[in-house]
Amino acid sequence: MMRKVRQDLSALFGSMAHPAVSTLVACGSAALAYPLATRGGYAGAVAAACVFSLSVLFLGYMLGSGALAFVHDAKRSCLPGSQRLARSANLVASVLLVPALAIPVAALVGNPVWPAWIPPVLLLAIALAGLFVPRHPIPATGLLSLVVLAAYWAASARSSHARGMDWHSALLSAAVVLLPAAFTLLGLAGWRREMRPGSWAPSLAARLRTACHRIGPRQALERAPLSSSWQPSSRRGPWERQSPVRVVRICLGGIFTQFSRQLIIGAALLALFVAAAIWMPRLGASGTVRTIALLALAAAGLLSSGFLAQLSRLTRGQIAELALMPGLGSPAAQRRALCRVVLTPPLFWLGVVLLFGSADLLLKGEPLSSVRLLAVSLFILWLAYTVLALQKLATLPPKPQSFISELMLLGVVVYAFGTYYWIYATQPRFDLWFWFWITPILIGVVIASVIGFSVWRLAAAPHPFLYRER
Amino acid sequence: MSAVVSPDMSTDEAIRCERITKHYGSRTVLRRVNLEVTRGTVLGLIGRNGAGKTTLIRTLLGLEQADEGRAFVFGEPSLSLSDATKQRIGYVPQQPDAFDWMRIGDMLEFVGRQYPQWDGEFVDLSLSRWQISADRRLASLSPGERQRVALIRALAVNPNLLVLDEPASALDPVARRDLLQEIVARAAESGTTIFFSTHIVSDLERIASRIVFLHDHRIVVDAALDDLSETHARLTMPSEPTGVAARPIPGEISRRRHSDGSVTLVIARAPGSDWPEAAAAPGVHLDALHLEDLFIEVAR
Repeated sequence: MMRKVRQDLSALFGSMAHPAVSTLVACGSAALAYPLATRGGYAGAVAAACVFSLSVLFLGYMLGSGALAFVHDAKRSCLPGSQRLARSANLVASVLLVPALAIPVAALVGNPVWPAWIPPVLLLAIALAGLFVPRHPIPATGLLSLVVLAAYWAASARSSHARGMDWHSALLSAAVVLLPAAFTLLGLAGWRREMRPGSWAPSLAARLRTACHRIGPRQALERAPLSSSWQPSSRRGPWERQSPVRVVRICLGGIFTQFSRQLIIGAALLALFVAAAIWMPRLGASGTVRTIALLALAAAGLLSSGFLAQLSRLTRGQIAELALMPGLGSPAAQRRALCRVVLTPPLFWLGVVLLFGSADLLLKGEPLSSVRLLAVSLFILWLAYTVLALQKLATLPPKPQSFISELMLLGVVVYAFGTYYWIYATQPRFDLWFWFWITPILIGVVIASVIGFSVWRLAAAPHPFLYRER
Repeated sequence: MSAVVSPDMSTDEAIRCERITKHYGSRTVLRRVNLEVTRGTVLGLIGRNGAGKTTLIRTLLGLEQADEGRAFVFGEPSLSLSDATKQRIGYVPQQPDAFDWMRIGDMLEFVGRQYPQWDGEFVDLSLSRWQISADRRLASLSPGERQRVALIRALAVNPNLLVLDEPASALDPVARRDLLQEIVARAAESGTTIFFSTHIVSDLERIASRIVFLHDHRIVVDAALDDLSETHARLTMPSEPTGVAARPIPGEISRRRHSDGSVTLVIARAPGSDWPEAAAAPGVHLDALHLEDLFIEVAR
């Protein structure tokens, strides 16, 4: 018994030196947030939220990095109780989570300023969503979005009744907490994925070494796979083919596949627009529209550049995998799947940008035409992305380009539409319906022609994953 | 999704290409290459760097489109392979760099779902034999380990055609020997057709049943390994030949002039036929050629 405890402690402190320090800072920050929050009022709430965010940040680090390191160590150890050790890491993390969350939440609940509830509510929602993400990504994201939107709208509705700048402070706190909380989300997601039953992959090499001492290398080689509890690849017999869209998406990798990256994007976008909403009252009417347009187009440009940069990183190996992977169907079906995978995610994220931007505009009492203009600009930006993406697909393997160069390319488009938007949205004398529509229509026609040419080139090839070496 | 249909197993050929020509810009890489590989053959493709080995392999698999000519795999045009044919192909590229963000176990599981004949037991056994943890990300592997994982992925398909583009280039001697044993076993037990390119002549001598030598954008040697020393020879002439001998000799593959005035030729003959008359001329030496000598003589 004592030997087991000693082993546990040794493994725990051997692997968790860094996480232990992080946890200490997290709990210390949380403890500091308590008196700050209970002091009450505007300053206390803001200060508590800021300090609390520090606590969350370190906790996120601990969960995302330190605890995973512990699990890996435990898995690779030759100790007889390695699986039990890894399981206990889950318990340790849960125990550490309680004080770090409970202290500030209790403090903020006791705060007389009502909007101070928003940060802990957001945080808890994010943590909860993080626990669900690995198994139920869509409900988790839905939950997160719902709570964030509810908190945002509640704060806005209260603003007319709030005293002074109280709700602004709450939103500011939310923005401050949101980014570190996103780290927590990622940490939790990684943690859950690691601890998920069925993904247990004991070190075969370690098992082999142990077995070699007992039965000699030859028998060990024969027995190791049989004694392995790692099941996923051990399939013989019935097989289930995946949809071409899923196969293509996984082969493309990067931002097309990794949900964690998309969560960072979503959290960053939300923080961006919440911060904009807080500062907007100081900017005046034209300043508000300009700021939102700039934010929306910049965010859309960054997002599209991320997807384009991933396409540029497509290697010959990836293309060969796609070309020779069975189950993708006819060349036409392959083309459809490829285009769907490449073009749909940016459209979704530009929709999110439009949603946040429109919410900001409507909250500030801007007319519906501003929203329409924003929608047109974002749609044309997506068309520009489509042109560039199809060009890359029609000339595989694509020229390697960095994120910066993709960003600069799209930056030109963003600049053009930003200017267009600014002129027609903020200068009433130009706000004629003819000029309002003719510019995007003309540009749309040009872009549509280029897209048509790219699609024709893509369709002319025997299959879409052909190397076009020159 | 297209229906799964069996590839044409009635035909005896695994690979066929007819007059394949390929240019990159103004540079010619392949010029009217003809090749036919029957089932069960272990074919070694050899040639210097830049000889066009990788381009030939890519063209045969439909990854690149030839400027002229056509290629077929199991009787199907390689540019429009059916799912059923793709399921029968295992391919290891020169630089296996796909899925580098995935863990090995996840990648193998993902790929395995697309193949009805996926051999999970072979995967587990190979990973343990080569001491590769399924938990590791592909990006964190050394080039040699990556090549091993790519080999496991290709062999787990239980392919009828295994195409390997310099598979041993990053492997250590032990892993290389394992690979060669696996290739021999596959060819012997299940009649897998194996098409592999390499620089390592000793590997070819160990396992290949047929050698194809790509040089100067074309196939200069295409022979069974066992017949090679009988069908190919080096002809050394003490001085620059004149008259009839100055013209290309029947079966001549290469001709090299030395600083002392002597000339060396590599010549070939059909099995059972005689050497050309020039070989019997006074002062001319005829030496049998082994694969490595042949490679050096032609490629130098």
